[in-house]
Amino acid sequence: MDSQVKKGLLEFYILSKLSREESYGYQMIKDLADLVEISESTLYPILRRLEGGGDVDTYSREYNSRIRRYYRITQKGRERLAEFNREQWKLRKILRYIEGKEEG
Amino acid sequence: MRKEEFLKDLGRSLGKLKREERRRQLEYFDELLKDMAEGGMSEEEAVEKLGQPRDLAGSILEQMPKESFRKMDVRGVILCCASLVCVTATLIFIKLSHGISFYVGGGDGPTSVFVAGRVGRPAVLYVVTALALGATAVHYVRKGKRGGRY
Repeated sequence: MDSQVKKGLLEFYILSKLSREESYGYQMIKDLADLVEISESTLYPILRRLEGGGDVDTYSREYNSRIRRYYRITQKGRERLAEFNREQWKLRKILRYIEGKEEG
Repeated sequence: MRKEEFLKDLGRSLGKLKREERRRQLEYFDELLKDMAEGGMSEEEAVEKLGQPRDLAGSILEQMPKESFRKMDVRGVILCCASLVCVTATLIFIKLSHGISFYVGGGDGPTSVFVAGRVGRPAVLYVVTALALGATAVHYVRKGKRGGRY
């Protein structure tokens, strides 16, 4: 898939994933691998951007006598995700147009 | 490549980022490598999978938001320059007031001019120098604290 499109969608994929359960770096990469090819260098900036924008926050928890950073969605993130889903029809319309099946 | 070596190289390649940003990133990859190792990979395999530190850093830097990068510390540079000028001026004045003679080249040999008595105590200069040094020190101490706290 086109890397720019993928990057944009990944943000919402991660928000959606975190809205179901909190997660950590490696887990997210593994889960994503089933759906879309993602490299380790792609996920980090997205997580950092989501955190910077206040859509996601993090906390550290001890695991196996080391620290692991967990990510969870914030209220703001949930609202952003809901808005994206409300407007999915717009995205579908664009996709149909690109496909050549709908007039602009 | 060993994990430590990998992280060191990665850190070096992320020099353009703010200190805290870089620390967070290294922490993230350290955690990731540990998780990969626990998932059954050897340390070398895990490191291998992440690729060359410089390439990894390159593609990360491309995607990091602008705020993650270091800003040029204009105030620090100005303060350092001011301090340098003041200290140099003070040193010159101290030397002069301790009676340094300098020579003026003339027709019949060097003429010694003794200037000790002519240079008074430049108290104002000392105060300004002390202020400049103080302000510079305060600036860097505060900057250091900010970097640590984030």
